[in-house]
Amino acid sequence: MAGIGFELRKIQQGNSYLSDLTAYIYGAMVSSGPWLMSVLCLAILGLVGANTMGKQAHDIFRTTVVYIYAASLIFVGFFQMVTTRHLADVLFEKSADRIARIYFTAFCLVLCTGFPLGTAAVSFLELSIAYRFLTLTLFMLVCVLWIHMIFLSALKDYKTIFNAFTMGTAGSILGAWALEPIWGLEGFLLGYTCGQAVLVFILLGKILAEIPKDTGFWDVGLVQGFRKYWELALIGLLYNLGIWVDKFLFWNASDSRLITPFLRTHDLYDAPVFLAYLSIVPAIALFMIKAETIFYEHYRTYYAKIISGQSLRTILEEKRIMTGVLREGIRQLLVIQGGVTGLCLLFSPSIVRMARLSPLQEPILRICLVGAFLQSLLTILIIVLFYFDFRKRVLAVTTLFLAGNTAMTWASIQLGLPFYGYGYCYSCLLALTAGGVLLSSGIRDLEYITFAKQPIA
Amino acid sequence: MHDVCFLLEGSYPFVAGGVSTWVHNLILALPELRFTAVCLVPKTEGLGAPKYDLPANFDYVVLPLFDDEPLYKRSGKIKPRDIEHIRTLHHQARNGEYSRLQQAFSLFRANNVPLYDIIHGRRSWALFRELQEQYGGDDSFLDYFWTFRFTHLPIFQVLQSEIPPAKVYHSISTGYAGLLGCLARLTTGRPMLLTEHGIYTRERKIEIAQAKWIPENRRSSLRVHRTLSQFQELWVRVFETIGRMTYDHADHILTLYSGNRDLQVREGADPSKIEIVPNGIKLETFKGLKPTDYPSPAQSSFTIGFVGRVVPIKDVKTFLRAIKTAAHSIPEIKALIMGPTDEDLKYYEECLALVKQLELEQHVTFTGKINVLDHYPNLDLIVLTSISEAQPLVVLEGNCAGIPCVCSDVGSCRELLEGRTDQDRNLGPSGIVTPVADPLATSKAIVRILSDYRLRRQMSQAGRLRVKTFYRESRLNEKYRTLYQKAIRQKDGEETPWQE
Repeated sequence: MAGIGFELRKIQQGNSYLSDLTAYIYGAMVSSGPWLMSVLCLAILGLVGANTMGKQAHDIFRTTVVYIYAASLIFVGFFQMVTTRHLADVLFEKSADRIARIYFTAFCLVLCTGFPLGTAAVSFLELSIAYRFLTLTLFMLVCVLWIHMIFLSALKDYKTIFNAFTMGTAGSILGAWALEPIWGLEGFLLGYTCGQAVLVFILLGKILAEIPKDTGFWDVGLVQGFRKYWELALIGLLYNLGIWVDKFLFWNASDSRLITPFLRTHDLYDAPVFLAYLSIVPAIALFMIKAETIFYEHYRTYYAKIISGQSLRTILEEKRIMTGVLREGIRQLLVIQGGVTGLCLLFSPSIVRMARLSPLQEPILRICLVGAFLQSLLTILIIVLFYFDFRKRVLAVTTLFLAGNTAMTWASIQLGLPFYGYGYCYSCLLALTAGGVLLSSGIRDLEYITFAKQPIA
Repeated sequence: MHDVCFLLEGSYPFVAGGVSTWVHNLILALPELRFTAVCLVPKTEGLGAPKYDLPANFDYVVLPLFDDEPLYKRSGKIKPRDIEHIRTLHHQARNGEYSRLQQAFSLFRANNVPLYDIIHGRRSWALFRELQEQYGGDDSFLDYFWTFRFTHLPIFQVLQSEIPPAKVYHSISTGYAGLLGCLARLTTGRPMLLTEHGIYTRERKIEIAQAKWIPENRRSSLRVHRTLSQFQELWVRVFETIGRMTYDHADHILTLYSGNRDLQVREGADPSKIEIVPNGIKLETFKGLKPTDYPSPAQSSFTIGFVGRVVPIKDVKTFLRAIKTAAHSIPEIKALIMGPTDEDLKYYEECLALVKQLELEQHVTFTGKINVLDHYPNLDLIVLTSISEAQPLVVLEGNCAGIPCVCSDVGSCRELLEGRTDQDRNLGPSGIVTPVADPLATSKAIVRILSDYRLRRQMSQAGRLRVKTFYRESRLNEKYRTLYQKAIRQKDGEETPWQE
C-alpha cells in the first residue's frame, strides 16, 4: 500500500483548476513503450527462429504476432484513453477507493468485446486448432496488457513495468526457443505466449496489491465516460489506426505476399518500418523525463497562480516561462533525436547489412527513419495538447494523420518502389504541422479558453 | 394594459418582510388601479409559492437573474460596431455619463447581442481584458473574472427581458430592479418612480465589505476600515453605477425619512427629485388603547416593552443593562421582551445568561412571539436599542396608543420622536433619543420619563397627535394614489411637476 498511498497523495496535492491530468498524460504514452519492446522481441526471435524452424513457419509466427499487436492496439485504443481520463478524474475527486472497480470494469469491457471479435478473426486462419487457440489467447493477453498499462502508468510504477517487461520478454524468447523443438510452430507460439503471460500476471499481481480494496465490481461512471469523452474514444481508435494503416495497405498491395490464408506480409516494407521505430526510443524516453520534471512543474505553477488569485500579469509571465520551457524541451529533443536519426541515416548501409535486409530496402529505411522521427514529435505534440485538454484539436490532428497516411500511402503504392515510405513520412509531417499550429494558437488563447469558455454555473 | 408595474428585486410576493408587506398593502389600498410586477428572483428553481394572498388587481411575471437557459437562445457573433458601443458605455458610466445608455439598451432589445457570444465569445473577452487592464489593476484575476460574471449576468438577463406594458413603472429599489426601471423608462417613454426603503447601493457596499474579512456583526461594522480589493471595487462600482443610473432616470424618488435622503444624495441622486413619504399605520387599530387621562400621578409600578426579535442587531444586551440601572431608581419595574427568540439561539442564551448575571430574573420576561397588540394597554414605555433600523413601526404604534418611547439614534427614530418638519416639531417630543449602545443614557431616559408623570402625559399626547397627523396609512395611500394618477395622465413627451 505504501506505493500508491504516496503517489496518490502527490497527485492530490494539486487541487488544480482543471482536473489533474497527470495520469492521463502517461496513458497516452502507453502505446509507444511496450510496442517498441515487442518490436525488439520480434527482432531477436527472428534471429532465433529463422535458423531452426524454417522460413515459412517463422513467417507465420511473426505475422501472427504483428497482427495481434496491430489489432489489439487499435481495439484497446478505443477504451484506453477514456479509461485513463476517467481514472484521472476519479483520482482528482480523491475517491481512490474506486480504482479497483474501474479496473474490473475496464477489464470486463475489453474481454467481453475482445473475445467474440478475436474468435471471429481466428476462424479465418487455416491453421491447426491449437495454433488458433493460442493466437486467441495471446490476443486476449495483449489486450489485458494494455489495460494494465493504464493503471500502472497512473501509479507511475515504471520500475515494475520495466522489470515485468524484461522478464516477460526474456520468458518469451526462452519459451519459444525451448518449446519449438518439441511442438514445432505451435510450441514456438506457446513459448512466446507463456512469456507474455508471465508479464501480464506480474503486472496483475502488482495492481491487485497496490489498489485499495473495493467492494464494488462495476463502475457506471466509466461507461458514461464514453459519452462524456467520446473524442477520446475516437482519438484512441483513429490514432492507432493511423499508425497501422500504411502497413495494412502494403499488406494488400499487388507486390505483397500471402503467407497462409488471411495472413499477409510485405517483404520490402515491413522490416524497415519496424526497424525505424526502434530509433525513436531516445525521444520518447527523453520526453518522459522532461515532461515529468520541468514542463509539468511550470504547467502546474501556471494553474496554481490562477487559483491562488494572482494578477493577470503574473499569470501571463508564468505562461511565458512555461512556453519557454516547452520550447527548450522541444529544442533539446530535436537536437538529441535529430542526432540519433542522423546517425542512423548515416549508417543506414551498415544497418541494412546487419539486419540482413535487401539493398532495395535501404531507401525505404531512410525515409522511414525520417518518418519515425516525425512521428515521435507528433506523439509528443499530442501529449502536450492533452496537457491543456485540447481534445477537439487532438481529434483533428489524429483524423488528419489517418486520412493523410491512408491517401498518401495508397498513392505511394501506385507510384511504385521508389516512393514506398513517403506516404507515412509525409502524413506525419502534415499532422505534425497542423498540430503545431493548433498548439501554438491554443497556448496563445489559453486564458480565453481557461476563463471565457467556462460554463456559467 | 396595466396601470402600474412594480419592479421588485427579491421581495414581494415570494419573500415575506417589511417591503413586501408595504407593497401588498399599497395594492390592497388602491383597488381601482390594475397592478402588475416584474419579480426579479435568483433562480426559478426553488422559488416556492407566493407568501401573500394575491389581490385581485395584481398579477406578475418572474425574471430569474441566474438561470442560464434563456441566455443560450440566440446564436451568432457580436459585431465590432456593437462592441464599440459597449466599450464607450463603460468608459462613460465611470464618469457618470449615460448618453450611450439608450443605444446600448436598444442593442440588447434589437437582438443584436447574442448572449452566448457575449459571455463566451472572443470579442467580449478582448473587451473584458481591456477593461480589466485599465481598471482591474493587479489583484486576483480569477476573482475579478468571476465577479464580472456574477455581476453582469443579471444585467444581461434584465436587458433582454420582456417588459409588461404599463402606464407607470415603479421600482422599489435601485440595483437590477432599478436597471429594469431605466430600461422601461427609456424604451416605453412612460414615467418611472423609485421608492427606496433601505438604500440598496449602501446595503450592498456593506455586504461586500463584510463578505470578506469582517467575520461577525460588530458594532462599528458600518464603517469599512480596510481598502477593498480590486474585484470588490468592481462589485461595488457596478452597483454604484446602476444606482446612479436609476436615480438619474427616475422621474421621482421617494424614501421614508431624511437620513435615507441624505444617503441617496450621497450616492448621486438629485435632491430636488427626492420626496420623503414615511410609512404609516392604521390609526383605528391602535388609538384608544390607553385611557385619555393616562398617566395618573399615583402610579409607582411600571411595565416597559421591548418589541423586536432577540438578535444582535436589536442589541437586547444594552436594553438589559439599562433595565439593571433603572431598577435601582424605580424598584417596581417590569420589562417584557416581545419577539421570537429562536432566530439566533446562541444570542438568546447569552441574553438569558446576562439576565442571571445581572440578577434581573424578577424584572425581565422573554415572551417569545406574541401579538403585541394585546400588550400595548399594559405598557408604560417602549424602548428600542437597535443598532440599525429604517422606520420602526413599533414606535408609531406605541405613540399612537399613547405610549412614549426611548429609541437609539438610528434610522428615522429621531424624526419619529422629535418631529421632522417645523409643524411636526412644534408638537413636542413623544420620547427620548439615546446614543447607540449606551446603557447608561438609555436608563437615564427611562427613569426620566417614568419618574415624571407630567412629562409622560405631554409625550403621550404629542405622540398621539403626531401619528394621527403625519403617519396615517391612509395618508401614504393617498400620496401614492395621487402620484400614480399624475403619472398615468402624463402624455408622452410631457413633463409632470412631481413635487408638491
